[in-house]
Amino acid sequence: MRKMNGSQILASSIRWLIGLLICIVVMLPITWVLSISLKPPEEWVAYPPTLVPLKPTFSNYIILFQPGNPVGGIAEMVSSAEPVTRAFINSLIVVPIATAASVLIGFLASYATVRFQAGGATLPLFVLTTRMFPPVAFAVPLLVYFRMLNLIDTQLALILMYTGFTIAFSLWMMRGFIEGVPRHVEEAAILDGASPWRVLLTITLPLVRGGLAATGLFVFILNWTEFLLAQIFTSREALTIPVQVSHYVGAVGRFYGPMAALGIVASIPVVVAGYIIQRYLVTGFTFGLVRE
Amino acid sequence: MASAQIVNLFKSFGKVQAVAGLSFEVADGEFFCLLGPPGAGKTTTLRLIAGLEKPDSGQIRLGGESMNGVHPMNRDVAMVFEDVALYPHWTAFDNIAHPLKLRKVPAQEIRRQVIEVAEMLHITHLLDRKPGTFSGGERRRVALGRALVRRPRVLLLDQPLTDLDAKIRQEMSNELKRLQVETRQTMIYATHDFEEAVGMADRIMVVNQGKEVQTGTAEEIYETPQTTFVATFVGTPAMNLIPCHAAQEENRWSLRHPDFHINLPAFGELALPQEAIVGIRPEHIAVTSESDPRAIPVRVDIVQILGDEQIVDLSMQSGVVVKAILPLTIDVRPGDQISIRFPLERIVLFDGKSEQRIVLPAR
Amino acid sequence: MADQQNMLIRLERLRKEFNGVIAVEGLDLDVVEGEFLCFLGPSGCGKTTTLRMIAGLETPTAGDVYLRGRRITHLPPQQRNVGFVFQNYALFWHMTVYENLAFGLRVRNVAPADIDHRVKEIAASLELTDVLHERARRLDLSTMQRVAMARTLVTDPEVLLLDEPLNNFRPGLREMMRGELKRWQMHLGRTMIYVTHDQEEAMTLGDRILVMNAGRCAQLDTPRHIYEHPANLFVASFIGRPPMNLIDVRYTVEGEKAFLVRDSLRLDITPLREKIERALAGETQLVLGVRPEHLSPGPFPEEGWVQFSLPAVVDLVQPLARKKFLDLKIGDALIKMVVSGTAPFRQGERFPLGFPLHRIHLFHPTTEEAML
Repeated sequence: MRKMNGSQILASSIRWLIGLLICIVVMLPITWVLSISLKPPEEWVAYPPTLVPLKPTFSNYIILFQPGNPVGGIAEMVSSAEPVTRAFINSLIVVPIATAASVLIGFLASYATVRFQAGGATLPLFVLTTRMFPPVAFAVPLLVYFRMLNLIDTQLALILMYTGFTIAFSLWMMRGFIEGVPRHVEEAAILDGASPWRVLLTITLPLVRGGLAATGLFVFILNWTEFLLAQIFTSREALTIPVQVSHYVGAVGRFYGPMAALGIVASIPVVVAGYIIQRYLVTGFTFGLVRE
Repeated sequence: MASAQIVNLFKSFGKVQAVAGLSFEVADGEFFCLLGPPGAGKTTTLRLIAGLEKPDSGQIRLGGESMNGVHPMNRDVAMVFEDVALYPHWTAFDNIAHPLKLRKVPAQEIRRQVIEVAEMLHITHLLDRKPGTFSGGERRRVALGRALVRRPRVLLLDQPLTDLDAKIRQEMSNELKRLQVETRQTMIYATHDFEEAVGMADRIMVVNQGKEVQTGTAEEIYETPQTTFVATFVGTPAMNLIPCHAAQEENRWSLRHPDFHINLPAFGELALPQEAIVGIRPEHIAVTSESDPRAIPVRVDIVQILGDEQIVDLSMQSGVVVKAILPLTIDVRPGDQISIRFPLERIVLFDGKSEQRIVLPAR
Repeated sequence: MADQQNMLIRLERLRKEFNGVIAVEGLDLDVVEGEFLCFLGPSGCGKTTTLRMIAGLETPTAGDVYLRGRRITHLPPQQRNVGFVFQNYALFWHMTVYENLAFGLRVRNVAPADIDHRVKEIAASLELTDVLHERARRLDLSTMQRVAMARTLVTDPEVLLLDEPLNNFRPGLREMMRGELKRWQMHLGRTMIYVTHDQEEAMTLGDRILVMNAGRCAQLDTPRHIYEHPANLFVASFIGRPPMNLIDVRYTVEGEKAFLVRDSLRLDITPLREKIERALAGETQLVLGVRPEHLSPGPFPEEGWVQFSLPAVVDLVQPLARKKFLDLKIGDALIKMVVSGTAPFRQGERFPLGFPLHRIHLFHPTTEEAML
């Protein structure tokens, strides 16, 4: 190993220091939320703020699931809120289905546009127009439609909207990955005697697996945190976690403790999903290097 | 395995005419080469035969059967691409086995055939590995294995050796030729490298701008190029082409250039255009003594040694530069003044306008 | 050295290690002003590392680099006044030729009037005046090559260092670009050091070639001398296409006659007897080398030729443009022979095989040095 002289040691310690600073800045909001979720009500907005709770408590988490539980004395303040179980179940049904549908449709659509120039050069751009308006602009007409179809406050309504609003995203993100699959590889498979569908499933799909995983993760996060549409189109039956968070706002003020606790709980599925597909993400971003 | 007939094939992409009326026939078991510069339409022709592109017009017949309208998956044609195009997520074994699996060959039989092909190509040690770590030569072998394993009607090779370095390219081309002789597989091979074509092809078709320029054996193409394009495209260094004036004196023709006169022997009936081009291959330029009446004085510019030969750039008094290949036993250095001559029997004449070869009648 | 004046660069006992792996080991070299010097060797032989040490892109582990007698071993690259031409030329695609050429001067804060003057001067000398305002991406390859050279030359470096610049061009084009490069080097009279793994490139371009193997100098000489007198087995097998035939043989003496023997294959080399015995010093094993292009089918003149005792059998004929490569079997040895393209050899044909005696190469089996 090389020995470091004085100036090199200094340079390397400065690099470490800057790195540490960036870490703190990045991690602070998350740490803060975690900290609040463990604080009793009097510490939520106490001044000066403390990063470590003086009297740590799990009462915020308990309140989430048992709104009437008197622990910590928060119950009276938020008595109107439902337990989060329903919101959680709704989110866990709506978001994965909408994500899967969006990625699947996006993948097939982008394959068609890349390989067969389906819809010419304009189709991908046209699809993108769905993202050019603020979603709230669509809310009123959709509200009318869904009322006629009797879909207000149903999971299906959310699934349809979330799928539709993220297809543009899936399509554009998948295009890059599909363009990265050498065309000759697919052609070789056709000349081997494989049908176009078989080529898609046995050659192209495995090669863009990583891209699918990456797209899926991004779409999942978009849907998981979506608030506006969920707020407008659901009331009791189909409400999702972001809507539930908003219910911890009362006449008296914001109930930061349960909000923070819900934020932490809600992030767990995303973290788990990200962790599971991390392996595919890496292979997904390197497959293009297989060529010489 | 089968023969191939291509009749009057046309294909354009937008305004670019990629293939402009190609017709040729490849016999069963023949090694046929399409030779031409990049953009000549070689790759497009192969893709049309494979069915990966649709022709604007023209006929493609494989084994006597018309392929127009037949989907590429049903043509029984294999292709080795310039970038090889292995399936990166499968082992070499699965890559080679793929066409057999699609044909529902029993697993045991697949295993036997894949191993047989792998042995032929010396890649049995690679079978369990994925292509990611293969060298350029290994990739080509696997791709060849995948193409050969099902004995397609026609095997199309699109410049498969382009990116390899000289030594491996040599090895692979030897091997490919040996395989072709052993299997009698009909092959159509596209390349821009004449040396590669010579070593392998039974016949070569020179194409340029989507059209046939000349078809024949390597020797015919090298020794008797039909146009100045073939003369300069084939052989390194290229044939020297020197524009001259043809003049008739009594019944003899002479070719005049500020630096030299070449008197043609008396031919019976011979009409030459006024502007002619004298073509001579570098290796046919001979060093002669100053007293030789045909001697052309030249100055040595550059000497490049190549094995037991040297490529010498020689400039004539008028500034025209010719390249000569001389044996290493002749000691020349930049700046030397020497005399050369163009042996009459080695000269190829072209029409200065049409750039077509002028065939001199036999004496 | 007598002509210190002409000595541009000197390397002294240059050595470079990367994490314990020796890349260059004790290299001595004098580069003469105005010459075209090629570093030739297989990948990993240390040729690029040596070039990078001259450029200042690597620091030697030991030894020194001198430029015009000044020690520059630890000088950073920008203070050395050497020019580096990269693989594929790495032009700035989005700029015009003029901007490409001016770039190096602008970053050195040269006065604008000077920049204009020098760019135009160098452009004129490389016939680039007409394309000065073209964008780099629109140029043909041979022009690009000149722009790349011009861009490096505009700062007037002492030496141009080229690291396999033709590596990624297709065959055919390479040969053309090679001829051009040689022509311009002679025209400009600049010192160039050119790294390549392609022996043909080195042989055709170099005034001298440094053949490197495993970080050391295997031979340093003119292409002609290296071809005719390879110093050792490595050089013999690396130079020439196809490479030199090398056959393990035993030296025996029968009465007045001396032979090289391999099983039933014999070669009468009586005229060389004294020389060989002096070089062998009691050894009997040695390696016989003959270049494929020096072999020839019989009959042979009496004087100055040697003939193998067994006939050669043609195993494979491989035609090239002007030549044919033949794979021959002679006894149990496989050898290659080059004949002219018109020679009518067929597979299976047998003929007597021989070569001019002065074309023989003999190598010591353990030191691998040339013996004659």
